[in-house]
Formats: sequence, structure tokens, C-alpha cells
Amino acid sequence: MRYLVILLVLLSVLMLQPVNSCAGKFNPVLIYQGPIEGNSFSVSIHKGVEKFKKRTGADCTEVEVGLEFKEYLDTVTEYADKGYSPIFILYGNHFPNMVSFVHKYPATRFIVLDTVRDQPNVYSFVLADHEGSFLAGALAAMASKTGKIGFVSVVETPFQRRFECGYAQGAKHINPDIEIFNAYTGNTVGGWFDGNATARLANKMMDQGVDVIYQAAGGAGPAVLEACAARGKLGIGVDINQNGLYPGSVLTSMVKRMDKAIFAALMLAKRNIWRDNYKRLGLEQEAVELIFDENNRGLVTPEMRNRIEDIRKKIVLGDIVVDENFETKNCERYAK
Amino acid sequence: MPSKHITNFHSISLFLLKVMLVGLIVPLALGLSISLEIEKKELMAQLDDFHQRSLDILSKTAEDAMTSFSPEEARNMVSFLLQDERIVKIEIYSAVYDLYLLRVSKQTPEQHFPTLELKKEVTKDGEVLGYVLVAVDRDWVKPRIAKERNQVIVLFVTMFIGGLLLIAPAIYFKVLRPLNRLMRQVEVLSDGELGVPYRWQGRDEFSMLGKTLDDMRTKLDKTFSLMRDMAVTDELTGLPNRRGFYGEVEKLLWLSGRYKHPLTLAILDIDHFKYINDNFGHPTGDEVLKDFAAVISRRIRKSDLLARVGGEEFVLVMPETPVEDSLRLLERLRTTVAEHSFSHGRKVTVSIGLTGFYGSERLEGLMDIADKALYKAKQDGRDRVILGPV
Repeated sequence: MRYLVILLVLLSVLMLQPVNSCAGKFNPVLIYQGPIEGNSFSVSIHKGVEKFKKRTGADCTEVEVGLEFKEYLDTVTEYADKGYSPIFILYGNHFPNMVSFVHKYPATRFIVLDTVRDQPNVYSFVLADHEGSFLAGALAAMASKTGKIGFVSVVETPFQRRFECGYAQGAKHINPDIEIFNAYTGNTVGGWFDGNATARLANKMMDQGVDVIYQAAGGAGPAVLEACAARGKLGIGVDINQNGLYPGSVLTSMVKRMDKAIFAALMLAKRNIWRDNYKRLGLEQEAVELIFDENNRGLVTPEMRNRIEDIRKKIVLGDIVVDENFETKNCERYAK
Repeated sequence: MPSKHITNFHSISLFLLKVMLVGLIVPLALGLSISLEIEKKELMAQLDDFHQRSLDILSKTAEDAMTSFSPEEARNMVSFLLQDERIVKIEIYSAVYDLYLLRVSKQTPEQHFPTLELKKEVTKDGEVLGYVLVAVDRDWVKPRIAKERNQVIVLFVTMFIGGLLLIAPAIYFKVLRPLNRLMRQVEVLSDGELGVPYRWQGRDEFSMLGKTLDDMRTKLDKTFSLMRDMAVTDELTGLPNRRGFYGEVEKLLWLSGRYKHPLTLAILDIDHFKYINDNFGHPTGDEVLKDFAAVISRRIRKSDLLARVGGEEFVLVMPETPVEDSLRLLERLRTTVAEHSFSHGRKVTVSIGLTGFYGSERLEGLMDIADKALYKAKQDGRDRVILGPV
């Protein structure tokens, strides 16, 4: 009888504990730059939040702000001052002086995507974009008839180089002689939604004989796909499944399951588990992957798909190591 | 006949060979295939055990990685398991975070393994954290079984050859060879060669049989030589009979002619023998004949041939003896007989006809001449010696 009482007490403590601990502290906020719907990256994150809310019934604050960084920073500061925690820094690589910022709020926990900062209150979630991009590059090299492929993005940061370098390595893995073109539109306000700029770069590449272009350009990306489709070339989507945007002209999409990462991050925060400051999700978690569906069935032969699957296995098993040192501008050694 | 023996003999060795082959192959093959089957089961059990253990270890260690959502930790846990060639797939799924902490498979579209999958739910404090799944390559046992099978085949061949090497000589030395020898022994016997002995050593059945056969041969040989002797010997007097006489006289004649040595042939006939038989009975007649033969035998040389060729008629052949010497001897014999006291108490006399041999006469001729001389002696009053031709 005594044991039963002890057991019941223990059980009740265990059952109540997460509820108690979360009830006080769990108050997350996500701040998006620009409208969610216009950016594939944001759409994916929003999907994760929705799923979390549906599963747990917990509340999550989501805020859309303008494209100016100042506005964004002000909003983050505002929520930090209000005592929200955790605060999601969705664009960690575009957040200058993040370290000094988080020092101002030691009691607040910051969940940062795609950037690693070694701070006690910063928790990084990094998706292995380079692994997915490696597969995209391999498929591009298989599909290219001219032996020239391209990469288009917006701001050249170490984060963006993950896509570019992974892509270049994958292409070289298939065809060591392949020529890889890369171009960035540059750090301008609204650059991530400026489809004209990216489309211009894409067209320039196609003028030079490029027939497959991989874009990692957020809201400015679909314009690249459109440009490719217009000239009968192939584009590669990113973040979410963009195969259906221009069926038959999008070779594949390198999907980042940001929704999965966000769901896991929210869940961890809700359960009040803060053990590791760094979580990396890659091919083996199926957090990044290429999409093969009815829209690109005509573009990818079963043989190509098997080869991609084989490469994926090898990366997961460690037989192929994808270089992930992108801090310096060293993609040149892959991209000729 | 011999060919038939050989066929029979061969059929026995053939039969033995078949029995040996079957007797060796069947139990060996059976035993080894059973051991192979056991080995196969053990390997499968070993694989299953490994499978279960891997799953258990994984499910225990994965608990923490699942709670704290740590792909790194999962990766570290799994990396050593993945090095094992038996494992083809591992999944660690976190239900809490709705994400694979890890999902690794060695299977590719080209390389498909037949797998056995085990899945285990991981729970902590009543909460389902997720599951771990481990798949092992069922074909892992195949090369090992093949190796085992090869070993079994080698073992089988070795045991088989070893068995043959042991049994074949045993059968050859203990059965086939004695049988073969027995065969020859019997063939020699059936050919009538009773004088060829077969010695057998050992106490086994074949040796006993051989010995018995040889004993039989010895007895037969004795019996046959006795019968042969009986055929050429006069039973009453112990002298050669007519057949015995003809068997030996030709050789003496031939030798004499060959070396141009003298030879004398005499026919001796007891006078009035019919009278003795009629008046004193046949037993007395027989007694007289025996006495007579003994008296003559004692007084001739070993090289001389004395034979009883008729009822009371004897032939004496004397090699190396000219007629003159023979005459003297025969005269002495005649006197001795006349003076000998026979058992029935009456005198018995003998008439003798003789002739010399000079190298070219035939036996019939000599006999005829001697017979004629004997006839002359009878005519002249008996108890005398007459030299032929007359």
C-alpha cells in the first residue's frame, strides 16, 4: 500500500512537471520578414507552427513585419522586452551583432535557424542544406546536356554558400568536367523578393549555354524557375516542393523540412529540454531531400533516381563526405 | 569351369563394394546433412539473437536521444552498429518530435537485401517516445552456410575415403584374398591334384575352412594312393599283380635295352596246384601261395621284379642278370621250394620257364618264349627249370 502511494505520488509529479514548467516559461514568438505566403522558406516554417499548435493545443505568436531589417530588429527587441521566450531568429545569417544582442537578454532563450553562435542562451537548428544541395547538383549534372549548370542566389553569405558548394560538389561528383556558373543579386532591401534581378541573372547564364539552374533565392526564386521554363531549360526549386510551379520545367526541388525542425524546436521548448545548443538535421533525418513527383516524372529517369538514391545512402553512411566548411569563400575549388 | 568361379567371386566383391559404398555413404551423408542443418539453424539463431540484442541495446540507448531530441547522439549510437555487415537498416523515430532522429539503410535500388525487420516501441513513464527499427540481412547466413557446407563436403569425402582405406584392405585381406585362395585350393582339388598341400594360418572361418579342406585332401590322397596300390598289388601275396607287373616291367626292359645290359624273364608255375585246392581247400591253397611267394621273395634281389600274374603263375624279371646266372638262381629256388615244408605238410614243386632279353624283343614275345619253356618243363615231368626258346 505504501509503495502504491509512493508510486502514485511519483507518477503525479512526473505527469504534472512538464505542464508546470512550461506553463510559466513557454511563450514562443516567430517573426517573419515579409508576407509568409510570398516566401517558400516562411511557408515551411509556418507549416511547422500550425502542426505544433494542432498537436499540443499550445499557443504560438507569429508576426509578419516589413522587409527592412530595422523594423525586424525592433520587433525582436520588443518581444524580448516583453519577456517572450523562446524567440525564434529565423534569419540568423542576416542578423548582425547577434551575440551582443542576445547578451542583453540572458534570461531569454533564442532559437536560431541555420546559424551557429556559441552562446548559452542560443539554440541553433541547422539543416544540412549542403547535403540536399549535393543531391541537387548531382541530378543537375545528370540532366544537363550542355555540361553547364548554374546557381542563383541573393546575398552571398557563408549560409548561402552551403547551397552553392553542396551543389557544386554534387555536380562534380557526377561529372568532374562540368562547368558551374554562380551569381548573387547582392544585399539589397527586398532582395529576397526581387524576382526581376534573379531572372536577369538566370537569363544571362542561359545565354552562356547553361541548361539547368538551381536557385536558393527565397521569394526571388520562383522567377528563376519561370525564366528557365520560358526558355525550355530546367530549374531546381528550393525550400518547399516547387515542382508543380512549372510542371515539366522544374527538374526537382531541394526541400528543407523547416516545418519538421520548427516542430521539434517548439516541442523541445515546450518540454523544457535545453540540453544541446546545436541540432543538425540532414539527409539521415529526412530533413532535406529531393522531391520526385508526377510533375518531374518525365524529367527524371528511374536510372537517375536510383543513382541519386545511391548517393544519398552513401552520404548517410559516410561513404561520401560532403565538405561543409563554408566560412571562407571556397566554393571556387568546386565551381571551377 | 574356372571362368564361372571367377564370375561368382567377382560378383561377391562387387556386392561387397556396393554394400560398403552404401553402408558408408548413407550414414555419412545423413549424419553430415543433419549437422549442416543444425549449423544452419544455429546461424539463423545467432543472427536472430544478434538482431534482438541490437534492437534492445538501441531501444535502451535511444531513449535519451529521443527525449532530448539529439540526432548527434543517435548517430553516435548507431555508427558502431552500422559497421556490422549484418545490419542493413536502422530507424530511430521520435514520435514526440515527429521526426526521424536517424533513418539509415544500406539498401539501394541495385542492391536489395532480403531483410528481417524488428521494431520496438520506446516508452518512458507511460509516454510513447517513438520506435527503433533494426533490419538485418537474412542472406548474411548464406555464405556462412555455404562455407559450412563446403567443410561438410570435405569432411564427408575425407571420412568416406578414410573409411574405404580402412575397410577395403580389411575386406581384401580378411575376405577376398582367403576366398580367392580357397577358390584355387578347391580348383586344384577338383583337378585331382591331391598331392598339393595348402597351408593355412590363423583361426578365422576361412582358415578353418581351408584347413578342413586340406585335411580332406590329405585323407583323400591317402585313400586314393591306397586304392592305387590295391589296383596293382595282389592282395594275397602282397606282390604286384598282373596290372602291377605290366606297369613296371616295360621300364625295366627299356632300361636294359637302352644300356645294353642283360635281363632275364622267368615264369614260375606251382605244380599240381589244382590238386591242393581240391583236396585241402582254398584256404590251404591260399596259404601255399603266400608261403611260396614269401620263399621266393626272400631269395631274390630288391631290384628283381616278382609278380603274381595268374592263379598259381608268377613272373620273375631279373635285370642286370645274364641267363647263366639266372639259371643257377632259379635252380636254387626250385630246390628250396621243393625242400620247403608248407603248412599242409605236403611237398610242393615248381616248374620254371625262362628266357633272356637281348635288347630288341617285345614283352609279348618274351612271355611267349618263357611260357613255351614252362610248358616244356611241365611236359618233361615238372619240378624243373627250362631255358627258352625250346
